[in-house]
Amino acid sequence: MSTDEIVDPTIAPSDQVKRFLLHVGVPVACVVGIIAIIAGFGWHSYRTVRTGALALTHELLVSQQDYIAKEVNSFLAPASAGSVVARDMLEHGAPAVEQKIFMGYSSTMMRNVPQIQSFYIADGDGNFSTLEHGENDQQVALTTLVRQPDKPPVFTHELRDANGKVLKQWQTPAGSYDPRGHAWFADTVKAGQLHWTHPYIVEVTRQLTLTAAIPYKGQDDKTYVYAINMSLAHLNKFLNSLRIGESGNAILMDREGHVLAGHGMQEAEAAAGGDPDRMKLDPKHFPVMTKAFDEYRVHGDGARTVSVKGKAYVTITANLPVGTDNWVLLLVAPEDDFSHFAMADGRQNLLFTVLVVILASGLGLLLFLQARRADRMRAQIAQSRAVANYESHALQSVASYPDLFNPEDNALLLTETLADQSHARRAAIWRILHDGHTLMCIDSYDRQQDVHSGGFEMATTDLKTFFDAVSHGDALTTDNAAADERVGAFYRVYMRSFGSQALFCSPILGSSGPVGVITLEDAPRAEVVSHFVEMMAGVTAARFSAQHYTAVAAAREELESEPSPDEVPHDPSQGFLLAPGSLGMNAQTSAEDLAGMEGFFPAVAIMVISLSDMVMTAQNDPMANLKLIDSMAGMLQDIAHQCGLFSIRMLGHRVVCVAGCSHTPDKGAVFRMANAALMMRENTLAVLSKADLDPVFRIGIDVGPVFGGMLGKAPQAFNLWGDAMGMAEMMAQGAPDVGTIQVTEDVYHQLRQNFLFRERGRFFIPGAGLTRTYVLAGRR
Amino acid sequence: MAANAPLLELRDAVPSFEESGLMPAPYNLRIMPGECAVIDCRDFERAAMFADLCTGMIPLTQGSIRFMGLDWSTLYDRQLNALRGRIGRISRHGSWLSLFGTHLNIMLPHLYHTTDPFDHVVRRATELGHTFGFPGLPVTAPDRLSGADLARAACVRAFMGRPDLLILEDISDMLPEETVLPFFETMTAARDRGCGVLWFVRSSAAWHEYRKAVNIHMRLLDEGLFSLRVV
Repeated sequence: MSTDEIVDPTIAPSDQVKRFLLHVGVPVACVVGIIAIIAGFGWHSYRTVRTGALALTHELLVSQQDYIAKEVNSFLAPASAGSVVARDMLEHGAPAVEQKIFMGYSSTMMRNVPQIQSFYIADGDGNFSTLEHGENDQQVALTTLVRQPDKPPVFTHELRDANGKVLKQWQTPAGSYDPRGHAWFADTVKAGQLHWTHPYIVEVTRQLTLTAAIPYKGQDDKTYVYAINMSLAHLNKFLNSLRIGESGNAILMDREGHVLAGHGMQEAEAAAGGDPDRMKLDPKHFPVMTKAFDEYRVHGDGARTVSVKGKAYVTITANLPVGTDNWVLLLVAPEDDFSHFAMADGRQNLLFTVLVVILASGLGLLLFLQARRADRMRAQIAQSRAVANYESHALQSVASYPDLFNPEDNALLLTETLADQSHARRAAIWRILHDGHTLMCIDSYDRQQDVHSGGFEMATTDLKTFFDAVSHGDALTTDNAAADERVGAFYRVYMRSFGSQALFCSPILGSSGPVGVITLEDAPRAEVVSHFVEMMAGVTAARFSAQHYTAVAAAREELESEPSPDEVPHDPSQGFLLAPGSLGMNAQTSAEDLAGMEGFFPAVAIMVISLSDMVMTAQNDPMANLKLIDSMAGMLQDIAHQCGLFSIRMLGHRVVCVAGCSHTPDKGAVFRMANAALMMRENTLAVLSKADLDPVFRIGIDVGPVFGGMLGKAPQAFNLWGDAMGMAEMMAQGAPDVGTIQVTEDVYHQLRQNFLFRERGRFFIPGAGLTRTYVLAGRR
Repeated sequence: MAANAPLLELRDAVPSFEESGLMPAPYNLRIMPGECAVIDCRDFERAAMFADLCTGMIPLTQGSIRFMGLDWSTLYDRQLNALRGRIGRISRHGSWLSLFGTHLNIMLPHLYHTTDPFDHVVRRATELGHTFGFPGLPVTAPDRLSGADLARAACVRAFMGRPDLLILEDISDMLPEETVLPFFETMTAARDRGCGVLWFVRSSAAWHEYRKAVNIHMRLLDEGLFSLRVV
């Protein structure tokens, strides 16, 4: 199992998200649900209360409207009833007492009915009398216009007291005044019955006035009109004094929307400049009234709710018949005035709800945190159980190792288990040798490469601080060994080349003190499994005590051991089938000045023939083998002579042929080498087939720069090395099939005009990059 | 995986006939870590299907197949993929992607499943390439490689990383003769590490030289899997 797997299949996908949703989602959903239910109840309750309050409000407004209607009727009644009474009295009275009847009746009415402003009486001849309030409540002012032929019309003014006594009398010219030209006279005569005029402004008093006029025939057969003028100021005052809700208003309008009395009267009058026809509500200043009146015009009278700028208003409109005309009574009040308590009640409920929800949320949060904590604990328990399980398996495998305490066995399992448990990149067991001044690596295991090594020794002098720490039996842990002065030297000597940073050291304690140390490099779990490391340290200590040999003695033996007399170095020159430069042709140097053959050779063709093991084992008879090889060697020498090669050298199973070994590039060298390769292949195949053997060789050719020269003392050896040498060998090793010649891209480029090649493919070769290789098939 | 547990265990596993064409008979097989099981099978298709069965790619109607203690049928996709990443397989039919170079085909499984550094993967692939007779790591698209080179590349791909199980279909007819020895060597090295081997062969010649090291010998026929004595 690879230690750096991205997904560990033994771990089932975590249901953490699901559990988190369960822990968070359910409480949140519950709280939201509770909030929704409470809010729903609150809203429903508010709606119910509001609806009830509005119904009550409507009833209240209807009763108020009735009251106002009665009030308006009682305001207008004296005019309609009084005019009828006056008409009857005047109609049956003698013309001579007509003025007296008018005076007596009207002045009595005027004193007792406050809303009456004045009385008119006029006949068809243009005679006219008016009775108005005098300078105080008890006085009356009578103005009479009696038209006499050949005389200009003159108003006769009389101021009388309560008893009818004339206090003052004067005259003013009447000018062109004629009552018959006024609407109250003309319209009334035309109507022939009690007639109400439209409201109008009296210029003298600047008051909005309404006139009820009735016509009658006098005994002299003349047509008379008796009129009672009522000031709407009284009605206005009454309407303004009404209290509707907390801030509601009432207004009286005619059907065309002219304001007659009530709220907004003054503003409308000011805006209209006293013209009754223009006294309409301004939508800018009275948007609610305007909208309510529009609603009335569309839907007729009744109670309804209008909304202006997001605020609801209760309105009620009612018709008030006045003569042949109809007035409209409009009552408007903000809905809040009536349902305010419902809102306040709802707000209070909401506040309580929010408090309850906050408390519930707090409890939910506590519950959630508790659940998460339980989850974490469960995961920790599961993890520690898994770790314990893993450790026990590891311990079991160590314990079941049959040669655990056998000093002859290396027990490589120990470092492997240590590295595996602590996830260390490298685990090593070191021993303090008996001289007390040397630390020796018994076994070091590289987990990534899966390789063991050992045998390094470190002297006290190099690692004084580290050695001191180890010999005192201290456990060391450092994340940056390079910066830690205790292990800095150890890092430089042992760790830096490996590239590890962190170090964990656990001492191996024997009966008489520390006998070694276990080092774990880049081990993230080292401290977690420190008890396991201690156990392994104990096992190692037991192993040490079981080992009877001393490392010092072993080292001494090793140092004292001399190379056996048999191991005499071979003369390298013996490997040459063709001594370097021995042919001395094609501008190559001759053997005499081979000593000068040193340095860089820019374009050397190198061919490596790799013979497989089988050639040695194919025949049982060694002598027959030797004979075969011998004939092949002779053949190679012949070919070398024919093709002018520089050298042929046989090294074990390989034959290395070199051509073009000169300081100036020899362009023909590759050509000669390829020829030689083909000839060698053909001849070798022929020889092998004669011996009834399968082809057992592969050939690789490369061309390129190499270094070389004579090396050592006498006998000197000539050697070449460079990339071309390695590549040629690689070509031979990696030839696609036995008996094939594989060449590099450089060779192919130089020879493609003269030889036939087959491309094998592209390969990545470390150090050389991407390259193509070709199989040399034959000559063109 | 518990210590001493079987690496691959087929326990009365009956494959779905509709999806595999394998005889719906109970198959039993048990490979311990480091063991090598050779399965004689004349039919390449059947061998490939059985290999699929062992890698949990064929549904079962009954029984169970456990690899490293995990039952294929109980795992989620992510786990399935990761677990298959621990198997090195030589497939008779190649399974090569010609869109990419052979090198990517070789390295992709290892790069996909592990966090092994790229350089390390390249180095390992090149080493294996050398072992199996390549001059380097082949970069050419698989469809342009010769049969022998493709067989070499298949070996490299199967042995990449540190597989816990090798499922090797028979490519002995394509593999050059001189690659047989490195093949045995690499297989033995993997077994020493604890890797199990399930090796399908068509004839005894393919594994004759390795006979002594084989632990289990079975024959896969139409009727099912039958145990043979290891000689």
